[in-house]
Amino acid sequence: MVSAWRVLNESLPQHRSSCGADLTHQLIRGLYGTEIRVKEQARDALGVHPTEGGRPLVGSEPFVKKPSTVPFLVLFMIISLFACSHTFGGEPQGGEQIVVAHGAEGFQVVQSQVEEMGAFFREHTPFETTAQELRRYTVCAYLFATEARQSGLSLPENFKPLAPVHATVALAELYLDHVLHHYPLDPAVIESYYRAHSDEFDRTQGDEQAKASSPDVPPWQKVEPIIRERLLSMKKNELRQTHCDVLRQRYRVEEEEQR
Amino acid sequence: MKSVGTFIVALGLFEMFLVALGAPISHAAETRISIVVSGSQSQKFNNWPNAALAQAFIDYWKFFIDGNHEGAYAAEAPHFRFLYGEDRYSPYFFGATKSGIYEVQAMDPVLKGDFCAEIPIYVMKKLANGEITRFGMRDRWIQVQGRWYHLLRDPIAFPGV
Repeated sequence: MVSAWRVLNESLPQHRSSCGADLTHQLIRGLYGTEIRVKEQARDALGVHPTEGGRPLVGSEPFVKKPSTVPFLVLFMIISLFACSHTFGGEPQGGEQIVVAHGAEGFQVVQSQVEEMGAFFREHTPFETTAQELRRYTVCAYLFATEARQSGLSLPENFKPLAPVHATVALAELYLDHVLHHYPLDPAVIESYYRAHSDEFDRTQGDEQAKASSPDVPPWQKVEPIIRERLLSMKKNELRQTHCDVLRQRYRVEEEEQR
Repeated sequence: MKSVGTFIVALGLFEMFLVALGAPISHAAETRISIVVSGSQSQKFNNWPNAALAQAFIDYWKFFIDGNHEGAYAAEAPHFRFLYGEDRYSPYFFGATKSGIYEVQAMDPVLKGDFCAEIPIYVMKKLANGEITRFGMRDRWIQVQGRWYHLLRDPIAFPGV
């Protein structure tokens, strides 16, 4: 026996995916009562097409007996979709957003942005994270992106985001790279790393060779960009957090309690 | 102990030599364990690149012995301190200092260029059952801006150093 809710669900995949079938089933049963019957057995008869009042039934035709009016079905779909959006926690109506964090200069992050970020990472990266970390990352990403725009940074014109939130993520990373690029590194740190990895650097650009080519320039200065990149990439996550905390203070960000 | 037995000289002798060289000696509080240096009486310090390295070595291991993690951390290489804060270093340091080490024996340093040195050391350790064990390692040092720094390399605890 194929029930009417199945007919309805099959006719509207989007509705089926977002709303429980049970609810639709209940709605239709309540409205049609016991009048709903489906001629399922007729489908199984090989070569014999069922008839409805002398008219043959075809496969695409809904098998709802009475009342079999399309307007009713459309009405049920609208009602059930409306019920779903409220029953299963859909977006609040009328543009209401759940604010996750807010701060100075109109800075605000809402729950839907956190969810969008989570969906993006689930789809495009192998990383898994907790709800709390995701929320913290999202707030930081939007802070970085805001600061990036204020600093005049922008993504390349040929950048093609994989999702709308990807542009925010990329802009945030661009800003972090900008911060790292200008990070003041003590020359002693550069020299120290060079000395510690002298075997490696001497192979490619030894002290003697460096001295011979330009005696006034210390050998580590020639590989400074390489060393900077290595050190800062190792330090990136820590610096990301540190700089995020700085921006949180600057924008006086307050976070709402997690629900 | 046997392998270095006849070459081991007490830390006091080492300090006397440094005094003779005119190097300033820092006297830490009374230590639980001792630092001993290998080499014959006449040659034991000849192979050390300079008194500054010897002093840095003694200072570092005294910090270690005394459980002075701030002093030991300050003696680590600048790029190490850039990468890893004291919050990461201290638990590692205290884990090492509480492991029953009672003596550090230093062999002749091996110079690698003008700015790097490796000092083979034997660390004597007393196990919980009273058994004595010894393990060898290379204690690495680098000279940065004229000062010798310890180079702690533990790829598991501190990768990338």
